[in-house]
Amino acid sequence: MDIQYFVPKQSDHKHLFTKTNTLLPFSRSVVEFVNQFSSTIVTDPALKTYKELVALGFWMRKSAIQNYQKTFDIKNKGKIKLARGTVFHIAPANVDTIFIYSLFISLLMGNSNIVRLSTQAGQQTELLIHVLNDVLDERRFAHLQDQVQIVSFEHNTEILEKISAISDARVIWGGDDSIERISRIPISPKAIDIKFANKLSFTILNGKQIESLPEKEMDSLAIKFLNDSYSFAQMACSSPRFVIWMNGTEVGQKRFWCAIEKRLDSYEHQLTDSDIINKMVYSYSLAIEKKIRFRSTRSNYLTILRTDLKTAFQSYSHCGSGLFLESNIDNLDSLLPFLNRDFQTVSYYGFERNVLIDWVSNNLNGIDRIVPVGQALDFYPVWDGFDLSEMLTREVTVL
Amino acid sequence: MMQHIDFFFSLESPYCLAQAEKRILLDSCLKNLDNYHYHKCMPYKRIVDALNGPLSEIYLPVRLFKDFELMSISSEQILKTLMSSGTTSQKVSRIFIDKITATNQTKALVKIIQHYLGKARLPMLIIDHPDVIHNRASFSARGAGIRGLWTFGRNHTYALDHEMKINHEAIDEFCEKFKHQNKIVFGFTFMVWKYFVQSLEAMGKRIDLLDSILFHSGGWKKLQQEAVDNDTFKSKTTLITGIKHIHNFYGMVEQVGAIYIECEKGYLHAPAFSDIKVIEPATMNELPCHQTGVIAVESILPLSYPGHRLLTEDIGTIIGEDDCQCGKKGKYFLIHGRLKQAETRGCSDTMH
Repeated sequence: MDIQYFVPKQSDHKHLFTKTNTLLPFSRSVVEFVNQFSSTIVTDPALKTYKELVALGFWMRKSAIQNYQKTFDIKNKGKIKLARGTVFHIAPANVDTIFIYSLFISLLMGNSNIVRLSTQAGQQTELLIHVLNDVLDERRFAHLQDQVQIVSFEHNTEILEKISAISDARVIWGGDDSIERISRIPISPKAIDIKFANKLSFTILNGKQIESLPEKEMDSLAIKFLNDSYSFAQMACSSPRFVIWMNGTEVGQKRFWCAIEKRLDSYEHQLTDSDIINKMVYSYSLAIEKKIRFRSTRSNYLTILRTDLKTAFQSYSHCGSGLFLESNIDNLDSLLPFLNRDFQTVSYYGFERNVLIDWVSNNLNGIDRIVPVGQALDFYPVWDGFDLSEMLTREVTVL
Repeated sequence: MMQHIDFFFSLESPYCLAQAEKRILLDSCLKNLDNYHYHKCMPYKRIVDALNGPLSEIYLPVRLFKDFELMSISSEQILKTLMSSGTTSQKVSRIFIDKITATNQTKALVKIIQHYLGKARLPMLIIDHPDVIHNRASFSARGAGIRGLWTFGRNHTYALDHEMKINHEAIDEFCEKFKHQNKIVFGFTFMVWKYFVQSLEAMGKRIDLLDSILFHSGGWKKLQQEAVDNDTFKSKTTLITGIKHIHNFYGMVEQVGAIYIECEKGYLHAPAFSDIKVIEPATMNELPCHQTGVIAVESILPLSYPGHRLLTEDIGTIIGEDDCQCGKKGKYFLIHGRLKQAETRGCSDTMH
């Protein structure tokens, strides 16, 4: 069996296919381990250039974990919550860092974990593995080596079956096809699957507010929008693929996109010539088939296609790389007919939170989270509508 | 519009125009073609209207010809449909040719090839198997390329048999019969290397094609994988076959006719009918000489389809204008291969 072992440094088949002990949720040693991991990646100067890693370190900083524990304790007051057992995480191909979030939440819940990395895993994953091994090497964390096993292998049913057989839960990231393929592999009847399928996201902007936004605020909005959109070349599920303006005005829209372009000049987006040509092919094809107009931009790193609401909602599965469809509405409810379970994140600017809560509470079909522009990629323990702390623990009742 | 094109055909040589003069003539033809295709080809018009920019700055990505039937003629006017090579799983480009475009393509090719061969038809050795122009499966770039050069030859002889093995009898007879005469040898780069030069070498056989000129095309991708560059290709081919005049050429099914032939100094040259630009896709700006970028091609030949300004996925470098040591005027350049496809990104694919 061709398996690559990344974490812990010394591992083997026997180890991988054996169930290991669980810990209690928020055990001290695990919390300390997470703290140590977080402070290592935040302070390591070699990792400073990786925005996604720094964000990860910040996300699991000590105070954040304390808050998370507090929320968990309040929610589960008087209840007995235990780890679910062995959790098998199947990481996505190229959003390098996302697997670590579900892994760490699972760890904090006391589970022992096996992660299957994509064979295409990139540089950021390598760096993460390096840090993980360094921290695990500390003597005080030696007993945690059983809790975190990270491996990689080509698609191999036999290995997937063996790991699935000892799993109490699988966390499966991926497109519809790969999720279906993995789901077909049997898991214990008492175990559960948590599926994070491919999803899509968009932004809603309040046109009137943006039109009169002072220069400085516009600039800060632009930076936030860029971070949401250009990390992972706009291919993360949470990155907006189209922008809906509520009562957008030409003046406001122009100001917004100009601010984006200005910031984009110095933004490290790593888009290649090939990405640009893919984008040209996609948008020219769309021009042939649908009614669109290109908004003129200074460079092809930013492509904006103005279109009607229906086309925007139909043409979302594009190649990313800085491509936005753009449309106008005068009422949030006009989005309702288009919403379905494919939609994950709506990032917004210029809307009252209460207005959005009212809108969502009216039995919205689809959309898992609504966040201010700039927070689209922030992982939250409730993801795609699943509360991971719920899913990855079990509750024991004593009457 | 036709008057302009005829002027290009009346030139003594396709390499006699200095770049500045050529551009003035070419630009006026291309501008006419912009308007012509805008009115004749609905998909092209829709792209132009959506972009709402100057027509002369719009280059169609060649991949569009795989997904759409782009033509500026009615379907009854189609004389033939050219297809790009590609495996069964890949989509192929389809280029629709009418009578006048076919004629123009042939005229241009004649002008270019005659520059090297003169007007007489020469004995022709084809480095391929006899089925290649009949076989439906290979009825594509390879077949079309052979048919394109067919008219420049006589006594056509195939160097390979149906099993892609060297046909010794045919080759020996060809070499013997036309000894000391000028001959033309044609094949796809990879075929010439793998099934001709390397096969002969493996058998320890040398042949005498001393007075021949070899044209070959089709890309270096497979040879690059075997670490064979142009210099290696040339020196080994000369050693094994005796051929001293070896010319690679760059062309594509989307712009048949106006091909770019490598001169004796090793550079590809743009003929009068077409031109080459090295583009930075992010801005679509033209890059200066010696900077590497994506190749855009312009040609005055395509009338039946909007292929007069295309953005390829090849990368290359312009070396200079009008001052190649071979004496040809116009731009000369190098092609470095295909643009690397960006890795798949996003959280959609687990099973890699």
